[in-house]
Amino acid sequence: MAAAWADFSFARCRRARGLGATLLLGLLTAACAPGEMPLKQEARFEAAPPVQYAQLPTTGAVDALNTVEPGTEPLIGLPADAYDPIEPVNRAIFRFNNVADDYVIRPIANTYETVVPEPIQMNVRNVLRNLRQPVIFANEVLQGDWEGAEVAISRFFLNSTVGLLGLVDIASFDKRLAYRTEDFGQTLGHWGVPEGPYLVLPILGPSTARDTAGIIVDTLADPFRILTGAADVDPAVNYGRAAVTYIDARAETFDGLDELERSSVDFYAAVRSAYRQTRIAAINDADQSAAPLVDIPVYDDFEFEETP
Amino acid sequence: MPSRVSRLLLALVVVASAGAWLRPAAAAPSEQGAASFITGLGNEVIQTIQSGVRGPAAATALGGIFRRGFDVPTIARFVLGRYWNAATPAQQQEYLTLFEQMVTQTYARRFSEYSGETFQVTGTQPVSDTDVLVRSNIVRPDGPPVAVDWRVRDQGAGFRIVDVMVEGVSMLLTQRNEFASVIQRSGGNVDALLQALRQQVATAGG
Repeated sequence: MAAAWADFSFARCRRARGLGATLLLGLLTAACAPGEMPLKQEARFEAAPPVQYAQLPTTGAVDALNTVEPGTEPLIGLPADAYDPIEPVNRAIFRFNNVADDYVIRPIANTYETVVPEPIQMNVRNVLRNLRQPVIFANEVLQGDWEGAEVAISRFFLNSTVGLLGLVDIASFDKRLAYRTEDFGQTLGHWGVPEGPYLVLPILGPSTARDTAGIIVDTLADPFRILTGAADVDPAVNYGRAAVTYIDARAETFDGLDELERSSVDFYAAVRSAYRQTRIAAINDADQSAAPLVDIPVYDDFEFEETP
Repeated sequence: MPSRVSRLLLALVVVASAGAWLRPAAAAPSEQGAASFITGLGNEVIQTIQSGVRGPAAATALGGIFRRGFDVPTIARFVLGRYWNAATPAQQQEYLTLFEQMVTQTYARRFSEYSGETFQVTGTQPVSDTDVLVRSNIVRPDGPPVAVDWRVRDQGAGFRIVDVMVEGVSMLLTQRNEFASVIQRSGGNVDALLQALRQQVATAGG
């Protein structure tokens, strides 16, 4: 999954700065008459690119990102503070999830990783991903991403036939058909639905109101779930599939989470921030256009002697 | 073609910006230079690990590489965000010291956990007048490659990293949200953060 940098909140920040620049401008034009600027300086500015990052004195205008009201956070941009109205409840569930992780999930995932041979693990992952392709296809269509929809369809047919019912991810040999994941939460985000309150779901972990709705829709609309229901297949098959999907996904994240926990002063807040950023990157679909990132100013108003 | 007046107004805006006019008109930072800088840093870390140093000597060596490679004061200041102005000068200085210690320890530990990953720079992209994004992949022996982007700033005397993004998650933003949460939960008290940092440094420091 690659990252993407669309940034609506930054556009808002830039407008705030534009205001500051205009005010300064007003002060200066009162004092100077146009036409007094020496030609040499003028020539230099003509060559320079348009100024986007005017360095205003640091008063808090720089931190405009953090002054967005909760609930109005930018949709497909960098997150302001999270909207977390039930934080105490979320923190409690977060603690519970961590305990459940240590005592139940991790042992199972470790057993899975050590007992099941690596190639079989790959086969399992490929089958699970293949079963998700119809839902991914539907979401690509809903987002208007025809290229993505084409990739999803190609992958599904290629892997189901040549790839032996999904066991082998034959499609990935073509770089253009690399696996990309979509879900209804991303679709909602793509169309501008705000993420809503942050939620920590029991066992499932971090989510938002929008993403939880997405999970529900994706589950209900999954054609294999519907087909197995219609064909009267034992529901244990679906539960089994869900369980294996979960274990397979969690096993990959433990190392990263451990590292995050070791290096954070507030693990809950770190996970919350990382989750929201991950979702934004996913919604923006790895579009590597040169959209501006958050502005990290050049601070020149404080001294700090670094230890050599 | 912008009129003479609007060009002059634009020039005035730039002049009014604090200190901007004092710097010589600089070209956009060299993307090639930024990529070489990152590659060089990565090689240095790998060589240090492979030279066999362990323990406190390794921590010192890696910490040194980290401090040279990262612009810690800028990162620290950004991460504290709006609470910088709410802190007293004494708190500010203590914060900077603690932050530097904490983040040096973290990265020294991460570097020391290197175990055969290979590191490839896959491209660069300018992101502002001062910064270049260097995209790279860290190929792990077990598992898919991790996309890591290094935001590098040209500071005249050389390059330094100002942000690291792992699979789209910015280290700076994550830490800023985290520190803000700690301060907010104690009712806007910066000392609560300082206390948490002291604890972090004490427990992580060998």
